[in-house]
Amino acid sequence: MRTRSTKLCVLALGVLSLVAAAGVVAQAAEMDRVKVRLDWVVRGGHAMFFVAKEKGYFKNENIDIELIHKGNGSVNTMTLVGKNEYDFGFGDLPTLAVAKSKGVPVAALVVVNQRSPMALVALKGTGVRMPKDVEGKVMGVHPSGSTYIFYQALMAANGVDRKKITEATVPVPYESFLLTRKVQLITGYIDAEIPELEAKAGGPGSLEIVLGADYGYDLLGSGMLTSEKMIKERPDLVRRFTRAYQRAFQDVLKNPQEAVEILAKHNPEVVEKKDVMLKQLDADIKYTFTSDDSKANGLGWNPPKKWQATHDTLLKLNVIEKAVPNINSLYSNDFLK
Amino acid sequence: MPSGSARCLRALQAAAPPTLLVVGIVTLWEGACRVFEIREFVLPAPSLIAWHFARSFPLYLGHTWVTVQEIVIGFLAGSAIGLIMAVGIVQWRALQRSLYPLLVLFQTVPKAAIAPLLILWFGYGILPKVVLVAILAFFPVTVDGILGLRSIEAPLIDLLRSVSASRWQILWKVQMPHALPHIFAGLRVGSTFAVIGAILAEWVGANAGLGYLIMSSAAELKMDRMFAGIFAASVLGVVLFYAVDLLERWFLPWHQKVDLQTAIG
Repeated sequence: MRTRSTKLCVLALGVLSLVAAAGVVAQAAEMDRVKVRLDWVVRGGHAMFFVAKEKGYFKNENIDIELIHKGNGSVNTMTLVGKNEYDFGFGDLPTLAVAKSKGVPVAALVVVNQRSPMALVALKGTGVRMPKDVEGKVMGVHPSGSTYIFYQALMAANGVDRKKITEATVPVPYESFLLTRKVQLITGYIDAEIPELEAKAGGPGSLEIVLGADYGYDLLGSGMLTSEKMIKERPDLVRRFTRAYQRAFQDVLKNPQEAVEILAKHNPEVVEKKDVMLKQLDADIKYTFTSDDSKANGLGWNPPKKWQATHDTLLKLNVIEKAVPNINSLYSNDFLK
Repeated sequence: MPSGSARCLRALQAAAPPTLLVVGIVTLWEGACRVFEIREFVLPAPSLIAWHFARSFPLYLGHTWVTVQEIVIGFLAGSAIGLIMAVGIVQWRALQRSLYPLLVLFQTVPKAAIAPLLILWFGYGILPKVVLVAILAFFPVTVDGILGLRSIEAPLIDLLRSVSASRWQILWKVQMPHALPHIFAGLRVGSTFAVIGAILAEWVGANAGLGYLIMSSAAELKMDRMFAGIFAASVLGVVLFYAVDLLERWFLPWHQKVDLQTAIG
């Protein structure tokens, strides 16, 4: 008798657990699975995706993050999201405008860097306090992509005579050319390589940094984006994803320390760079994540005037060959509400 | 002796299959782009590329000239180094034991990874590009050179020694002429590598040249310009390959080279 009841018990348990498992599977099947592509290796500004995942914000919105892939440049992120290989992406917004002018069907959802994080960097003692000081110096440039656009636009905005600059073409990472004094100046991101560079150059105060946004460079930085197809066919998913992302964005602003811990937990390769990533986030919080515009209209807001300025600068530099007919098509503020 | 018209007909017959193949592929490509409405950023149609190429031809001439200089200097330097190494390795057993394995090891180093380093070491002028071209071009010359120098039968060398020919006499008068066909085979392979080397070096750090053009076009999603740049680089490679071929005919009139096509056919 006793064995029989045990058997029954086991059977009942088995059935119960099967039902439960089926329930879990069913629930998972109902969830929207999405793929995300970053622009580059993981840095502080990518924290929102991981924070939203870790804290269950995506799950609350019935979204399951299938994967977050690191990228190899914003151009590829734009084309891959445009081709719907990924559902959402993170990348340089001027590059998004260029891609759009070439017919890549993408649109920005959240502007993460309201002000550009790009800067001119020199070793201490070079004597660079403003863009005009670059005249007469050796500037390391790579004549393609976002850093070259930044360099050309910043020089133009400040009336700098580029004939007086020795432009040396160097490959990434530019930092090694600066540290070995092959060049006197390079361009860099205050929220990416500059904190790492500072550590190698001798700690805080070892660099001269001129933030472009302080000198008339008014292009947008990076942001979160999706494809036109997603906006058109799955607006509800886009809304839920953006909502979860925005919640995480608030958390990152309030608690960068926690954001870095979560980043390190999800990306073992950056565990030893935790202090650098915290500095990256601190720089973003101080200079780029918010602006008067975003304080008035909400975190992550797409400022129409800045989008226009971004587009027009690129057009003037001939990076965009054919103007985008409708600037509003570059972004959408509809999902932030 | 075949008559003029017969020769003309034969030339036409020889040219027909490759021409038809190319025309077929291009037509298929163009058709696919139109029928499936493939977006330009994924794959531009050949007509678009050709139109762009024709419209901005001087642009390609300028960049091609920069790349040609890097290739020619690098290829000459690399070939000379390759030949010297081949002679050294064949002449001295110690060098063969020490240097040869190192060369093979060096050949397996991923060149894309060391290209940025070359620019850090040799500056941002033409030098790092020339060095990378030479690095890529020397190896086939060395390997084929060794093969060629060794291809002479041992009894012949013994015979020459028996009439007290010096080591250098044997090298210059017998081994070297004997090895030339092999060396030219190495040069031909090296010439195609040289083009890759120049494009790769310009890719990582340059402000002119076809590699720069391709890279910067990709960064700005100018796909027609990018493909036109790739096309120009390929044409350059083919021209260089046949230039070496021509040089061989001029250098070795006695050597009846086995034509690759007849060999396969």
